[in-house]
Amino acid sequence: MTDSTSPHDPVFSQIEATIKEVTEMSVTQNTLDGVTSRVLQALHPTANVQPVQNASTTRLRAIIAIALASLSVVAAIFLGSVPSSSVAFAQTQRQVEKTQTVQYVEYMHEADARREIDRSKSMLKNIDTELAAITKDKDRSADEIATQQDRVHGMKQEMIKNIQKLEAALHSGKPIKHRQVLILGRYLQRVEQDEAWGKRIDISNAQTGEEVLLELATKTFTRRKTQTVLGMKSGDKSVSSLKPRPEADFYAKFAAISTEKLAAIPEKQFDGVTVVGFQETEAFTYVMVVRTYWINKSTRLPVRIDAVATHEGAVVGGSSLANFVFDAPLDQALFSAEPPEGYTVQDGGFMSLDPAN
Amino acid sequence: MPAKPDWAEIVRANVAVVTNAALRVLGSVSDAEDVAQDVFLEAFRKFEPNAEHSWAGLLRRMAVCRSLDLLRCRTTSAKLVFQPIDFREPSVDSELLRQERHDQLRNAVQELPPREAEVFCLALFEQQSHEEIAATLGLQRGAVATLLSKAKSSITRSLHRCRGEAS
Repeated sequence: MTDSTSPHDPVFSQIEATIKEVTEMSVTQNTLDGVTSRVLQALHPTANVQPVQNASTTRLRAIIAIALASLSVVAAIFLGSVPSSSVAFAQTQRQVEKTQTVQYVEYMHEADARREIDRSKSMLKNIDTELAAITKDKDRSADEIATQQDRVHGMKQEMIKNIQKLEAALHSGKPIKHRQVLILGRYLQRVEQDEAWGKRIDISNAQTGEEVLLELATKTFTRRKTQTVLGMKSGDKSVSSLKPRPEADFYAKFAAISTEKLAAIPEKQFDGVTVVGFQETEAFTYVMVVRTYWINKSTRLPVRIDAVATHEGAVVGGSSLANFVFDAPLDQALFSAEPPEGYTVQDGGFMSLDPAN
Repeated sequence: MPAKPDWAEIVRANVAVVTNAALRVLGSVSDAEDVAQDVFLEAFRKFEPNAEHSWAGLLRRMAVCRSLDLLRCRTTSAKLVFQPIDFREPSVDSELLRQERHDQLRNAVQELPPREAEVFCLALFEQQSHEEIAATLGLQRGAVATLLSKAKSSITRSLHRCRGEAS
């Protein structure tokens, strides 16, 4: 039996490193000034000390915003690195370049699904705490409390549905479909995603920067005009307007894959199709990412792209692009940025999280 | 004879100790601010400003205890639902993974028996000596060492389980 606190134990080393990081944490002088001022303000009136404006309001705002952000974050197309080598792969890049449309399905790695379930469950616990706090909040009117409770309750139901959906997908043992992507020309993109609470469709034009979202269950059409970055720790947010993102183009990304780092791997069969594989490994600070490109030997077009991220040997995430269809006709109307009839139109934006802030 | 300290003086002298102790246990600035406020208000209700307390030690301990209470009821902080990793931004990956390690450690700490958790936080997060902890908690130094050793073993086992589940 091994000693679980042995300095040779990698987990022990990890704990030591984490503790070191934790001991180095400190708040800013502004935060200290704020705490000092609020405490002194509360203490000053002497006898009847009322708690300072309870910060659960701030927390609630941050949690709701983070939860909303988590529900609206759009996963990025993951074609990573850059530039050239093997002649065979270069041929594939040329073949892809000649096509006019592409469709594929993005699958979620089961490690990501498990992590999402765990985190959603943690957030649910927080939501229950916040719901209880809202009910007891004497600073709010009954109407405000009811509205806030409805919002939080709705969010809770959506999260429960999402957990159930992911658990069912994991239980089935089948690949977990994340979203379907349709691309017309170089810049028009339509992403369809079945959420637990209904289908959503994101349509974008990377050249003009136009981004719209259709939520079918609520018949809501949102023109996304802004990018909001929310601090995960502070809840602070910054807002900027959306700009064209030509670099989001699938074709440009595929053409930019560096063939120099690719190693050929033995060919195999996918659904009766002979495919050849090319693999590259990229090391980041905490994760090692292995990307594998499977190419149809006869058409020279991609059949599947897998990416797996590991941390100290354990798989921490990844995704797969599969079910590729090139050059199938796609109706331009599928990429319309105009609201369908009967939809409620609203302005909105993207939200992302800044873990460091 | 030195002048009696007043609350404003005590708050100003210890606000960093209290807020940072809470931050290390909770990992969230807004939660740490809440705890710091609560700790000072609780101390205000319970103690006289001129009482002969070691204010830093007492308030630090209160901050750790209240933070552990909050950690137990809040568990991990709300975070980004983990979408497939955006491999183009490894710095974000790194930060998320770093936070995940911090959360795993905090989850392991909140599962410890209260006294072990307190000793663990004071010894390792707050870098207090066994002697200081013994004085703050009213324990023998040997008892502090035993509690700390037990806490480390439990946490290591808990993180082993996390790794097993993740792989």
